[in-house]
Amino acid sequence: MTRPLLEVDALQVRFMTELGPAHAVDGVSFQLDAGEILGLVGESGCGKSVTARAILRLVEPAGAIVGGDVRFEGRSLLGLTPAELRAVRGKQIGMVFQDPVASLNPVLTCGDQLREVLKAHHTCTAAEAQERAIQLLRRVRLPDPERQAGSYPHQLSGGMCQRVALALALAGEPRLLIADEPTTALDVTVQAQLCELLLELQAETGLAILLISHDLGLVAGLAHRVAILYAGRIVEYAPTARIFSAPQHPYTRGLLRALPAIDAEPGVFAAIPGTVPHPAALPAYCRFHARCAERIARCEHEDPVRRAIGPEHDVACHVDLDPAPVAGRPGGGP
Amino acid sequence: MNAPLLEVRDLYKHFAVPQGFGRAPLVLRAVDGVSFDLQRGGTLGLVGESGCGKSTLARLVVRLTEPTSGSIRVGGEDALVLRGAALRHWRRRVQIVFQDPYGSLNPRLTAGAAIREVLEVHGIARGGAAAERTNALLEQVGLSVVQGRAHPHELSGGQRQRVGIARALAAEPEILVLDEPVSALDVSIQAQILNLLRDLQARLGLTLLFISHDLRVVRLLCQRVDVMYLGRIVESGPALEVFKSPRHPYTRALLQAVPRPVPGARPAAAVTGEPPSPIHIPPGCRFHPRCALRVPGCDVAVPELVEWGPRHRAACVRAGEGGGPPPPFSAPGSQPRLDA
Repeated sequence: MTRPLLEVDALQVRFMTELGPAHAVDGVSFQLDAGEILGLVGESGCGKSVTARAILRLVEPAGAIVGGDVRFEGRSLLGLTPAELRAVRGKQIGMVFQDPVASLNPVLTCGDQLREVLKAHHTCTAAEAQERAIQLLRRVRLPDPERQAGSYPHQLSGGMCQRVALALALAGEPRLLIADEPTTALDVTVQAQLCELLLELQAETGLAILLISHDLGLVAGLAHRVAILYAGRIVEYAPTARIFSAPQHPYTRGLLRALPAIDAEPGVFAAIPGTVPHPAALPAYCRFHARCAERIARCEHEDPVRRAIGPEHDVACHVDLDPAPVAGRPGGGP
Repeated sequence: MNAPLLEVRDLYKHFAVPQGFGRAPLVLRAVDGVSFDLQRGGTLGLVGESGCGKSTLARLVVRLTEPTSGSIRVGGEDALVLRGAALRHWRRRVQIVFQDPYGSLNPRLTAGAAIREVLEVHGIARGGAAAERTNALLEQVGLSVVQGRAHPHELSGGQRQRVGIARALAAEPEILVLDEPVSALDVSIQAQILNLLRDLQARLGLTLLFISHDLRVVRLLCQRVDVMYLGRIVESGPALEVFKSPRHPYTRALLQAVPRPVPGARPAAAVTGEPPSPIHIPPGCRFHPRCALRVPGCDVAVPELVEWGPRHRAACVRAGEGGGPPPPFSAPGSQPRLDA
């Protein structure tokens, strides 16, 4: 058994808010192997972005990592000095964010930004950096890279900016890419192009990708495994096929039903009642119980522990649900 | 067939984009010749990507923006000639709900006060009657009287959107224009709001113009759908029919790109590139630079909307060809491509 590339172990991140301390991430554990794509799925406020940022310690100092560990290739990232951390950021773990325009420097051309990153990561001459920058832009399939290297971000469309941001993230030749809602700001046709590109990069270079998304449909097409996050905790963790064919947690099932399928019969939209709780005002014990149709008395006075219910399939729920698939999905059946 | 409640004919909205001293402004053609009808009690979905002009069209229909040319008729009455008190009275008939439930509410008014404001502005109710009507409206959108005393920042996104809907309903409109009403919401909350809209429509007999980039939602909510690309409607028809047998290559590409919750089903990038800017609209068919089916002549002649089936029209010279690609979602797992 080889060691996983990334191990997140009982990670806890806390923010101070007006309402008191908010446990945005509360004991999240998962692993990512080399070349694997893991989808981290949840609604807004569930802690998925905070988890992603905490891996590179980008939540500090506003928030604090108060427990757990993050190990990359066996080495803990939480004890690194700022200089050591800089060597990991970008060089071993790259990151792309949701808003492609905001993540680029508006006063530098795309080529300048790439050369700056390349020089930070490698010792290379200006000519080598220029050549490498064009190569990277070509690799992310930016049309006409020689000319676009001289463009400023405002001259490019959202999809092109996201390609440049991806080129920047890949400049240090990282082994892991953290992609935080990389296509949410893009149109659906452009989103499909970006998805193809991510899959190509993963296949060509063995890049591992931690894909943060609210869209189960997107994750279905890209990820090997899926972790469902609710209110700072992983409620279900399984290979992608299992999540869609045999979802176990009532929240996962609710999410799948709520997702309007492009080939579903028109009818009532399946909603999950209530709203996602604020991270500073979480319900005690099972955090989903107030919205859960399956709840039993135990849910309100005992924390559900994440347990294995099948090969690589974990769920954190007291209720022993029927293993038969329930989601109104193709292959699921209502 | 009855006369449509809303009739939009040859609507244009061009914006001037200043280029600095001494240079002629460029023209941004946001809405570039759009016509459609909406029957009373019907639901029309308007889909398209960012920059296609769908939000501008929404603002034109409720007269928040004045069109460059064209006509808008509601119940046979020309809406564009109205001024002053007549316009204010007309506004009660056509109301809008915006995308951003954060930005579209006054942060200093409670939910109840925001609803009561509408009642008072339009002279619908005052004093105790207004308070009573406000509570009834809150209840109608699934909010409690206690939540009516909350300010927007104390409400969740879904609750704020309910307040936005209650405000629109306060004017007792016939037509409700919904500009991306659920795109800022989480998927579990989206379904709550969509169900609410469906119930309200059934109960109040509302006519809905539903603007969205999410084809999945439009397909399930709307009877008819119009697909917009760069300011023009490229396909129009009964929603299920358009989604089952799309005629325009752009509609097909949009459908193929929709992520499906099926493991391993990859969204297919059936078109390359991105929509061009509405300042530099390509000649001929405005989709031709991205189209896999283009033939010589597509870059010259502008295709008109032509009827290909019962009330199903598409603006493409190849829309009538049989043996085209199968519907993108016919067989899960297979990935038909336009160029295959």
